[in-house]
Amino acid sequence: MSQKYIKPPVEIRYAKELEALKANDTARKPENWVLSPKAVRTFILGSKTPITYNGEKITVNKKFFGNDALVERCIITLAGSRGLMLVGEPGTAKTMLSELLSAAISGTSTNTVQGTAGTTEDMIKYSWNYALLLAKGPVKEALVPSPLYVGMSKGIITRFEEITRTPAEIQDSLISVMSDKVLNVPELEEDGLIFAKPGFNIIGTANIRDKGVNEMSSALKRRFNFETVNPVKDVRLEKQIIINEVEQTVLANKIEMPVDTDVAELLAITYHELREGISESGIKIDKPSAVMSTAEAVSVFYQTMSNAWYYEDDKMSLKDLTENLNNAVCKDTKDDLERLKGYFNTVIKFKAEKIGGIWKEFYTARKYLK
Amino acid sequence: MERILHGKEIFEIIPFDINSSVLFFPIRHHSPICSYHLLKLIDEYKPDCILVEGPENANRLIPVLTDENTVLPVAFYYYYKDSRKLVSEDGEDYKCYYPFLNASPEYNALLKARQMNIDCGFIDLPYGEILIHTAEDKGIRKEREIQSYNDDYYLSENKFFKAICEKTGVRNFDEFWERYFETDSLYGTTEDFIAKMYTDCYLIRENTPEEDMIKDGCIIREQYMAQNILKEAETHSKVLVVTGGFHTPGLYNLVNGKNKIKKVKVHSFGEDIQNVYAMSYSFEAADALNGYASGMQNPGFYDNVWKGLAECLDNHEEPNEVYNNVVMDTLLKCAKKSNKANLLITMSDISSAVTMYDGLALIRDKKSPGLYELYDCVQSCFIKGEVNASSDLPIRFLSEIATGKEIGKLCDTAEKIPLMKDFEELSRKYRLKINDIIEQKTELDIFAKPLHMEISRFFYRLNFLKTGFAKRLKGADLINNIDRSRIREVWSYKRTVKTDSALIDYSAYGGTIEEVCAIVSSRFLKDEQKSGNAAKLYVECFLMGIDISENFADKMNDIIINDGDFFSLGKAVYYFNMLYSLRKMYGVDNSTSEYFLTKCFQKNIIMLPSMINVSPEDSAECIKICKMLYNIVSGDILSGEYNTLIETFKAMAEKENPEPALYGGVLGLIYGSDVSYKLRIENALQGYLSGTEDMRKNGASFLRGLFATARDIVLVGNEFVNIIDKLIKALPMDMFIEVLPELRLAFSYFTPGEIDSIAEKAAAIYNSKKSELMNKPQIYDDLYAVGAELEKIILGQSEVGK
Ligand SMILES: Nc1ncnc2c1ncn2[C@@H]1O[C@H](COP(=O)(O)OP(=O)(O)O)[C@@H](O)[C@H]1O
Ligand SMILES: [Mg+2]
Repeated sequence: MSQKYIKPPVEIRYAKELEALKANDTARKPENWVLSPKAVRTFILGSKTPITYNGEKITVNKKFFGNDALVERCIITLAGSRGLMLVGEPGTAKTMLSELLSAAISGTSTNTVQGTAGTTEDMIKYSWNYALLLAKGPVKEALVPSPLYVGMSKGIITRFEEITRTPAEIQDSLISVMSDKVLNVPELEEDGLIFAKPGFNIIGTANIRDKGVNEMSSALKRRFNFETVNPVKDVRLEKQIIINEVEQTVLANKIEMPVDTDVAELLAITYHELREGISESGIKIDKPSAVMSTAEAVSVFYQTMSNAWYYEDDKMSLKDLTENLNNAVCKDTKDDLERLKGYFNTVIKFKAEKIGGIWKEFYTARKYLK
Repeated sequence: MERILHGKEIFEIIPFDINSSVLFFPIRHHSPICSYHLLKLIDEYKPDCILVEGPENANRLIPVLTDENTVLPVAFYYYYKDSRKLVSEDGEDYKCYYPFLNASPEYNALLKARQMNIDCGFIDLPYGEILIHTAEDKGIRKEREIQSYNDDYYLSENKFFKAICEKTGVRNFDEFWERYFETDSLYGTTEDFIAKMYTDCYLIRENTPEEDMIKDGCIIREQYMAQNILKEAETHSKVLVVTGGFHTPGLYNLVNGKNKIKKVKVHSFGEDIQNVYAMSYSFEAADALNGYASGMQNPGFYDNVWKGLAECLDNHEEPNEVYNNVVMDTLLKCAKKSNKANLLITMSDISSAVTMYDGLALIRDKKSPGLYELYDCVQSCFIKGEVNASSDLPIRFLSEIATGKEIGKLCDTAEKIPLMKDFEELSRKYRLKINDIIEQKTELDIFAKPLHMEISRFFYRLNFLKTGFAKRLKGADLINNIDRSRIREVWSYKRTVKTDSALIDYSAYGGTIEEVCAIVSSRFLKDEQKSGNAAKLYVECFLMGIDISENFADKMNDIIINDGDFFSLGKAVYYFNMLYSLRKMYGVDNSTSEYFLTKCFQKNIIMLPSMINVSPEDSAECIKICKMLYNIVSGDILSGEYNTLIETFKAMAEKENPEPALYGGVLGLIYGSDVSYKLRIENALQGYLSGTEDMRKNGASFLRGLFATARDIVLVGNEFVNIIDKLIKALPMDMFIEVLPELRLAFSYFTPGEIDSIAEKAAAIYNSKKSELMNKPQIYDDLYAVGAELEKIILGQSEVGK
């Protein structure tokens, strides 16, 4: 899904929280970590009581919802000698979680390799500035470091997005780096061994719905602890995520209208039901083949909201919502449109009669499905 | 929450005084930490009487439970038969378990009392009495698959705790419990632990409406318990009361006169109404109870924890390493088991897992890692890739190990229910391994070896008593008429908790399995009104080797006379015919089955003509019965009835408005004895053809019935295929689609070879070859639909064009 709105990197977005946590952090830290594991946990899962920093009370909000134990395991993994591999469907906040972890542990979330079919070994390890190379020969100056190289030499985390999209043999160049914590640059001769500083580690993400993925070799798998990130199971949490995320984005984009929590709930329920294939009242639903992720729900909501801000008079219209939902769901196959219509004609109809209110409006908007 | 968990002010509400004459120790079932502090407290308090929450009618079983030779898990099994309708108008039977594990504080309290040679006993109302005082669908009367006496839904299902779980980010109540009680309280004093328990239980109780406590019987039980406590306090100087923590505040108030005690009277019931027995139990069963909020999950893990703690108590050591050791030990077992399943868990995986559980304990503020860190580290470090049903084996192995496999054993002096004794003695005689936790297999040569026949009957008897003990994997299935002539049987069997409890259930009926089966059969027959079901019982008794023919003959006669259900009688004919035809093979006299067969047969025939207007849904069953009757008269028994049956069929064929499938079936059967009916059949089919649309549709049903009884009619000559062809051609498209399933069903009676030859005939009509007909590419319904649409449009346009 294309991000149609801007968001600053995590460490900037939450700079204050990070500073406050750091100032109050007394627990032991693994070498080169900015925060202790416990403080990292607090950063991601929130704290019950606000922390005081420079005389200001700062509330650390929960950022990743639905599986606290998973976050804890991720933190412990990163403090150990293995990498962390987050796998799951698209839109389950794998990228978000890896950014949060990197920002809290290393102070930066931008040291990233983006995996694609065209990713080459030099994008992972290092390449050369050819002008310098020709002028000075193979010297350190002429070397263009990759994010991995940076991670190792600074002792920070390197994120590797969508690792399974890169060809398997390219992936495998990580093996020696991860097992020996050494990167060899033969051209530099005796200077050519780059030892990883403590604090270096890798967070990979992989999408299990990806077609044409390159299955990781078992040798590489053994260097990682895997965490499967599942969609949020609780509608209340999903609603909360939509509200939180949209509030943040709205703020960054200077949209000055409050988030309509009723619509957020409606959308959370809709996504939840379409994903699970069954309605709250037990009606079976023909599931769309498209991924019904929370991330998509956030995006649908935000689009509808910004439309209301720019083109309408600040009231979210369910017509827009329905159209955006339509576009998000029915992009792969024609069948999904039928399924979505079917959902409106059974479940939404039922809710329109039973609950009324915005569900009735939503049901009326079914005519915009096409 | 900090305030809630570490407040000493609770002792102002419920005092804790080591010198008082009655002291309350609050527990959670099966919790090692409760047992640990309980034993410490007993050492300090030195009671001369220990009272435990539990129905008092189990008091006689305490010596068995605490006997040195008894191996846990053991459960008390209570039953109450509400024949006097004191619980409800339904007069149902009730039963429940009270499991004891090594870690159970109730068990440790009783064991310690025995070791100290002081008085002890249960103080709760007898089981039946609790039921009588519980509202429908509350407390112990909640609808559950397995009922347990131990209720800790007060704790685990409490809103207050649910809120705490959500806040602290734990996954469920059990994880919360382990973190804040099991591991945390190992490092504090017993008094701290009791303060924590008192506080939580007090808060939960404050949050529970009085009305709920009345409905689920809690209040009346507490009154009875308080009554018992006061009675014992008269003759003892220090009474220790061990109950679920939830009751502590209630009992304290009653015993100390803050609330008034109303005297509770109990009924006196005979053994036929209520009793309790001790039985061997398993960790597996105890874990299954967990779903019913009856104590801690994965009891095997906590049993090991308890063993470690008990050792520390014995040696006066600090328990700091117990959890670390058990967690490590369990992890290694899991790795070993995974490796055995070729999952390749390396040393590196194991050391990564150790780092993980230690790290998690730290980040979670736990003093030691526990069960949940164990699950976490196995998930992170042993599973390579996405967690799903095919990759989560290590987790499942861990769960098996942590559940525990052991089964308990009662000491030899334990009273044995005669029925259980019979079961064990026979099993010994038959050399069945009933104490093995693995399902066993055995092959029986039932005709060659008399002992094998006996074993087979033993298995059938146990299954009849719903013990779930044996499964027949191979061999004749007389009930469903499958593999009837197999002479060997293969069985698997395993004694489970269900086996024991079923035997206890039936113990009121008699002392031997044979006797009980006979009584249960006769009871069944007494209330039965359908001859089909009664005849099925005859077959079952035959399999069980229970001779019922004499005693039951009169009753069976009555049932047949009063049974006006054609299908039930048909079923009876089927079963009696089966018994009759087996008489030689099994070498038994079965004149009774011949007698009943004749009787049911005759009734069946009398009712037959009226069946011709049966509803279409029942026609298939009806055809089956007609066919069966025909087969019977074609054999040696009842051959004298052959003509009567054919005449009856002919009479049926003359009736108005016959159900088409049955009509076809009956005509087919007549055709079998009188080929001249072929013409009649062709005419009938023509009739369907030339009738209204609905009539034509019925033609397909007619064919289905016909083919069910007389397939060969299509195979000889060509006329029939021609008629069918006409029938199909005459059907409009939509109607053809509608009858297609029926036609497909009709032709499913033919073998592939026969289909071939029919295809050949059909092909000949169109001057084509069989191969072309059979190998045409399939045309999909969609395509048909498009074609039909197109046709409509084109036709419509040409209309306009005119
Ligand atoms: N469990 C969750 N907690 C918080 N936000 C979530 C969660 N699941 C989904 N989201 C939302 O969806 C977005 C997920 O996007 P992203 O991290 O790109 O997913 P992925 O990388 O798994 O495809 C987040 O930015 C957040 O808005
Ligand atoms: Mg991503």
